[in-house]
Amino acid sequence: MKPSPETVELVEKSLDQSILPEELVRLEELLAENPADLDYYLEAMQAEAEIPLALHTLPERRQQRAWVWSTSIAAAAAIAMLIGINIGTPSGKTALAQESTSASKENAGATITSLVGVTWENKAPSGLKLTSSDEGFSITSGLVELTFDSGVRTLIEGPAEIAVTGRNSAEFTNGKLVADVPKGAEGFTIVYPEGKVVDLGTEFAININEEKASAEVGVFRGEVEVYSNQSKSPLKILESHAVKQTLSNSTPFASIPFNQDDYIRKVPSSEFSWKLDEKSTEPVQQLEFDVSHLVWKPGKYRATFKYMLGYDALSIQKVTLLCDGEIVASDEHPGRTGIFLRTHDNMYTLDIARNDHRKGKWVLKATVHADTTDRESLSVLAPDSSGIMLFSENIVSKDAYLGTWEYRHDNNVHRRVFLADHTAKYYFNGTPSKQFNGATWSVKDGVLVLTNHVKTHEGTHLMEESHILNDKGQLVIINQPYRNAIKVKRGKQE
Amino acid sequence: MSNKVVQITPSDSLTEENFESLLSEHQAALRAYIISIATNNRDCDDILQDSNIYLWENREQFEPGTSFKAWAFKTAYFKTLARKRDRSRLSEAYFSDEMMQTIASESGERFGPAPERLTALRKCLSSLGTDELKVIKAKYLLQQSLTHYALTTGKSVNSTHKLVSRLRASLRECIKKRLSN
Repeated sequence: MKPSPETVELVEKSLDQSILPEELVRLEELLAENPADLDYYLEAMQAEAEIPLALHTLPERRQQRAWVWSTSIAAAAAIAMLIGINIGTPSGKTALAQESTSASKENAGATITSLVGVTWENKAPSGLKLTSSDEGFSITSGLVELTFDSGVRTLIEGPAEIAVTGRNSAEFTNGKLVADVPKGAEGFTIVYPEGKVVDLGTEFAININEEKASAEVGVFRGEVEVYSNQSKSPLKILESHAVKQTLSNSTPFASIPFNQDDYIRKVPSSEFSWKLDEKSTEPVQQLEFDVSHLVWKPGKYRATFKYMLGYDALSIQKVTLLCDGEIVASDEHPGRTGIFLRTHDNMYTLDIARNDHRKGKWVLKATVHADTTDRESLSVLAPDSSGIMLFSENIVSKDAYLGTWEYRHDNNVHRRVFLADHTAKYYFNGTPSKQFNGATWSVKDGVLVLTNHVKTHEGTHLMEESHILNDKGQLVIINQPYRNAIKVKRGKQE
Repeated sequence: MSNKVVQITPSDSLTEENFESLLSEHQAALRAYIISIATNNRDCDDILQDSNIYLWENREQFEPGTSFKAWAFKTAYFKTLARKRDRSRLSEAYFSDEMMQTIASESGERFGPAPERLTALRKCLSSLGTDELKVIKAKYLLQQSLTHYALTTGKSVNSTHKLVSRLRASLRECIKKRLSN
């Protein structure tokens, strides 16, 4: 006998973890009445349990197409969670109990420490740590920060292809790479198709263009040695100099101007500071932010304005996203950010369609003015407001918010704890506070809203505080002028 | 995960390696047992982790020659019950105690180490199209929400959910066919 359509639908909801309590009651009735429904339910749950385990041991498939990997980089944690085993105490003799806490020779390599707008060309790495026994990876766009066990930090700009070959070396086939080599890590080596670069300290760039069959090497600081496959003697390149090698015929290196602006040297921050121009006599001002290094692909981006300091709140009328001067997306609605209770609608959504995305200079422009409503009788007349703008692509799931978050404000230490049952706790300088008793939280469109009824001598007020996560995994309370909160690791929580 | 079958006789002492093999062999079945009695709610991974930690820390209690599956499933049942009764977990959906017992009884008989099922499933997964495998991996390996996956790949949320539904059904059918062949 087949299961009833109603059972099939409810089981699907259960598999999606979206079944409502009253629907579960109905499912229970159906399973109790009809053996075929119970059989179907058990079969579905069995397969659901087995899929992640089978995927984990699936042989690698060649030539996979572009893969979008969440920049929350939960892949390594997700794999560890799959078999549900988290054995940290045993002796470490068994495979299950082994933890790669120190880099042995076999485990020496590099770790992916940041991702911005990455699109993987083939299979994404199965974990964050890469060694010489791992295949390399290719990206069609975005930035990957790879930090080697030697301490060398590299920033790779797509399209690019790289393979880690040791704790202080890699093979680089295509793309742009900037390496920051600290003291003690001299000798960091990048091997490319027609030669290799050995760093003598401290920061250099390499640009391999597979199509044009050329390699360029430039030095920001310090010096490097470049070896051509055809020659045993290296060429030394000094600070602010660059050379080019044509790969097709292995001609000697030719000196070229070093265009340092062609390279991205640090992982771009998604936080931008803003301040109203005190000298401006115009009531309306334009804030501009260069977000070129944050826009790597089409998708939904979000600009959030957060007030931090000043007599005035910031009123926002419109936010526009331009590429090379041409408007690509905009969001026009009145928004405000200031002291709490005066902040609303301070998030702006900008949708970059597939056909509109291209490489270029991306600028976010916001039309704003100072909102002097909160001023009383003050002698200061010039606009006075400053804060930060957060520009991000990802919308995080509610699970990313779970746990304890610590921030400092007014020389005090504050902790907010978001629990799985959607309640919250609050600690002030280590002491539990009743302030969040009865408070609940929920996540919509990636924003966590904490709802609390606060009693004052004037009565009970509804308070809603909004939170998002920035690119560093910090919690940003977007309608309070508090600093960003850092997640407290397990074991150090209350 | 190991497919090695571990022969345990009462005279053997259970080494760590043997215990680890037993635990690994039973992971799929243990996971299936938990998600069936806990309606696949969001507590399931924590319950599995709690159960595994308990089994590992109490491995000296296990008597070689007795049923590891029975001990593991019983542990998981009580861990699930504890979660359900913890007042702070009321937001997650659970069956009534009676239904939990019914399902526990059925699952206990039905589920067990079955490496041939995982082998069949791996073959079924390998036969999926590239885009189909991509969405399955995003959901089950990277634990991405389907809404997020849809947004980042420019597909509709609704069609992504329907695709995953269809793929689940087709994987179940595929497993059945391979096992019957």
